[in-house]
Amino acid sequence: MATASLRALGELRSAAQRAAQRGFSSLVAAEADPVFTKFGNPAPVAHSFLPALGYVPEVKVTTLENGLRVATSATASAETAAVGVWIDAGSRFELASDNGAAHFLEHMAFKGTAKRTARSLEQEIENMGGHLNAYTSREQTTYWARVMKKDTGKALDVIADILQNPKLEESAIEREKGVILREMEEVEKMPEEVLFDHLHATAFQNTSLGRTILGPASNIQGMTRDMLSNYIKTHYTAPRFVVSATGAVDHDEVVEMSKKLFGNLPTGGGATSQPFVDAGPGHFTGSEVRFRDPDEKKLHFAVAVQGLPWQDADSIPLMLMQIILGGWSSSGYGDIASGSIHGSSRLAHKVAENDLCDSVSAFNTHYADTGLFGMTAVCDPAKAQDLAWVMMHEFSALSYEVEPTDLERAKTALKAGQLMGVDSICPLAEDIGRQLITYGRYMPKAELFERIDSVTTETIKEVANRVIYDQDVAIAAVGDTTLLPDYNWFRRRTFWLRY
Amino acid sequence: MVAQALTKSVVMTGGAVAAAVGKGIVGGAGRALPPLAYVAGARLFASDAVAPSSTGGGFSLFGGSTRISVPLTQALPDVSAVAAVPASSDPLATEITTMSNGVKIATEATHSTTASIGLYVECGSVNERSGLTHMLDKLAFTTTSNRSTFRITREVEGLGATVASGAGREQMIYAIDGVRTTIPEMMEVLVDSVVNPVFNTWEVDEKRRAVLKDASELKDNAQAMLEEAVHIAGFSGGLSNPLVAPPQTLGNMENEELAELLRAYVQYNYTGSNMVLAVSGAEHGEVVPIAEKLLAGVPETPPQVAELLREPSKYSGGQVLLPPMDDMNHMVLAFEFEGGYKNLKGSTVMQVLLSMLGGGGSFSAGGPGKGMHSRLYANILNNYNWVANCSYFSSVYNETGLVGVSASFFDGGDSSQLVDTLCGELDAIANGSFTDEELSRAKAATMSQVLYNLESKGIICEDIGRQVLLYGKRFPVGEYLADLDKVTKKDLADFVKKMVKSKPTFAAIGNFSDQLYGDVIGKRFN
Repeated sequence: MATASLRALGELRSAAQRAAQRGFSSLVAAEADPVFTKFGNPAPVAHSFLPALGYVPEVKVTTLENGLRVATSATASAETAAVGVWIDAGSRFELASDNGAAHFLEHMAFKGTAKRTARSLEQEIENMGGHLNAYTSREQTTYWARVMKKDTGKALDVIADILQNPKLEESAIEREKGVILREMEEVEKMPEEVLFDHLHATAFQNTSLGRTILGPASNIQGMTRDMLSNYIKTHYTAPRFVVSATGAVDHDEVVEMSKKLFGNLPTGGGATSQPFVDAGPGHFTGSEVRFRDPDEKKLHFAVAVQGLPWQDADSIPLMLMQIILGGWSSSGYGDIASGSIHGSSRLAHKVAENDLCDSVSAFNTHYADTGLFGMTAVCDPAKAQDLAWVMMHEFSALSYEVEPTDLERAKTALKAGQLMGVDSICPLAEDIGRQLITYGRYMPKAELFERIDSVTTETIKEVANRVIYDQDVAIAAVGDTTLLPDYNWFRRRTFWLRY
Repeated sequence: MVAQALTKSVVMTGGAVAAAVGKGIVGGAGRALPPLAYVAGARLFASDAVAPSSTGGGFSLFGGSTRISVPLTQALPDVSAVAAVPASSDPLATEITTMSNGVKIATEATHSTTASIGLYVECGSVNERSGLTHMLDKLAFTTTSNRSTFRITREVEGLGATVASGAGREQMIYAIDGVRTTIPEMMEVLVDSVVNPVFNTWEVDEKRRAVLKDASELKDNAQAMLEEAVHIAGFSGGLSNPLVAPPQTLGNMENEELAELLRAYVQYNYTGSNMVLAVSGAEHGEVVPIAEKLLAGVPETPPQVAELLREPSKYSGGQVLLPPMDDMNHMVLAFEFEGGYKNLKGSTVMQVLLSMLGGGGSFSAGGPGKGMHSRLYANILNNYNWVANCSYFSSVYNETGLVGVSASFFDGGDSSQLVDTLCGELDAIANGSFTDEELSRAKAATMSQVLYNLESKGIICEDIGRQVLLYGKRFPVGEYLADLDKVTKKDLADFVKKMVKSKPTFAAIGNFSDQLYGDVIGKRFN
């Protein structure tokens, strides 16, 4: 024993000498060079980041007579602009019979309007070097473009046209059915997408939030012009529209253009989507769904509790909880900790050290009246139980013990992420549009930072007590689910029997 | 409507609601009770929640919990705004300081809350054949003489920053992005991890396993394999070296031997004139004093050493055919781009050519703007339903490059017909058989893409790093756009005419006949 360690020491020394000879100070970092250790601190310290907020571009908001809101954020040096329309509408406001209409409509928007054919629309955008895109989610529909400075007006004109005057030709509708069914095939090849659709289907069963965005194949095949125009009539009203423009834009110009282009949009009695939320609230049901396929090499599963609505003050601590839980991936998600065993997330550390999974991560989804907060993982089926144990242990630990250092790091990460996430014009336009729809205003970053900084470890525990402690869970699993613990096992692990 | 949601977010803890002043924070000492207010959905104390502040600090007087109850739909009272830093309306310049050891520090004072910092090193797989480049990429941000990997990880996490590294055939990239108030910390950890690596044997071993895993996964990734194949076919010299480490050389080395090799490699290549520290989102004067201290220890580039190490690469042209790897056939057909990035005029014309060729996938997301009216999209993807992907191909280096087209198609497709049609596309451009509208569309797409990219701090940083390393300075974007605008129909036709006279490079994976496609293509153009 002693000889072995002596020999090891000798080897280490000679390696160090060799390294020193080659100009490398030492293999064993006996003395850190003060030049390289002046600023860095391995222990997390509070970063206010406040001086950086001086560089946040100003956001201006104007509400038009019909209730449509126009928000802009101009960047002095910008040569390009992002401009788009964010609509307070999505698949959850559909009926079971027309589920898929919102997404179908998104496809039809690019198929021509009263004054533009599909081809001239495409050429108009491509000739100006622009990009036009759209997406539909459960509660939000977005059409946006990015163009060069001089083309902002043209881009908004195109968007206004495709939203208000889509041609919706029967023949084009028929053709698009095939395209959407093909898209559905592509979506079904993505296990993450499928898993989250299943999770929504079980957690929000018998509510519109449980349905998918694309809708069932039978709905797509049966889609009619009436269903689409009915969707427009019901949901495309001015108070549910936000025009958001960033980059090389002028607020007054965008307001004037919006008045001209969207002035005829009906006010719909001034209502937002709230009546629809009230009519079809997203009831959360503790439940599970397992698609057992013993031939699948990997098991995908997600477990979640009911999360919080967008507006809830506790959604800020919940975001911090998501970061504290963290995530890990064998290939690394791109950030320094997620592929390594050195990160601060205990969940990541445990799965990495014990080789429990390919990837695991915490997620946090908000809706108007509810949400989903949980974790998702991909693993070898044989490791499902160990992995589930680690995940649930860290999940329920949030109600009992939170390390101040972990919280400090999470705060820094959340604040930095909020700044880095809106680093260029398209994500900024998205941030503004989404906030106006979900919060009804654009929250200044200074306020957001104050809300984040006010969170203490006690706050985290309180919010965990509200959201996680002894709450029902929803589980979705796809793959060889044989060794994934049963529902009651998970449900039991939302709390500990000790204090 | 909002009010209903509002009621949900009022909470009472520990009976200390009376203290609910101070920015709407509801404080409570001791352990939280289950939040009954939520269960009942009752509307409690909504007015208290927005009571004016008297504490200023926003924290509970009782210690313990501080929990804001003002919903996100309502402004938190008394948040002091941070005074805005006015943005300069002048076009931003890139400021460069050259240190005595040759390292260049280049910055742009981009008006931004965040900063991107990158260290760019001029070396890559052109300098070696053993897979050291791939190893160095995996070993980025590991133990230095001052920091353990653990400390580096925790420091970066503690800044809320993100790091990235990249290994290329001619360049290594190490980058860190974060909030601009943490520039000194970010710079320190970045420079330390690049200039003071230790290469512990156990870490070398661990990363070698990761590298060998990548190498073994190459056989499942046709696109990456094709990328290697086209370099073998197209170049002789350093550029034909593998970028993905070859398992046979790397796998047989002792850990210590490999570590020594890496150390020697870094010592010879990570030297003064081979390095540029690029920063966007910071003042030059703020960066230089700190960067100079950190980079002072970088040795000067010994004369001729870099040249000695670097095998000269020449375009050779040629053909590589590999057996099928998946259910598709993949091919690249390319020609020489003489002069590479150092051919400034040619580089500008090339960008217009790539936009005009365009292309994409037969099934892809995205609306207009993805090049639906580019030539490859309109003439190939829309006409042949067996073609899954078809787009321009370019792999350009400092002094030479490959430009052409790539395609993937299902079995049953006719490779000879596709090759012929693609040659026809190039021929059409060489003969000037394209409309002015197509040219102006290609120019607009290129310009808009350049300008849009430069809205991102990370890309600005990368642009600074690459240009300063290559040209010793950064061309103002206005100059580049003006050159782009001047590209004529004749420029484009001449560029392609010259290009297709070079010996063709043809690389393919899948069911291709044994014919010499290169010869067929060569005959067509000569």
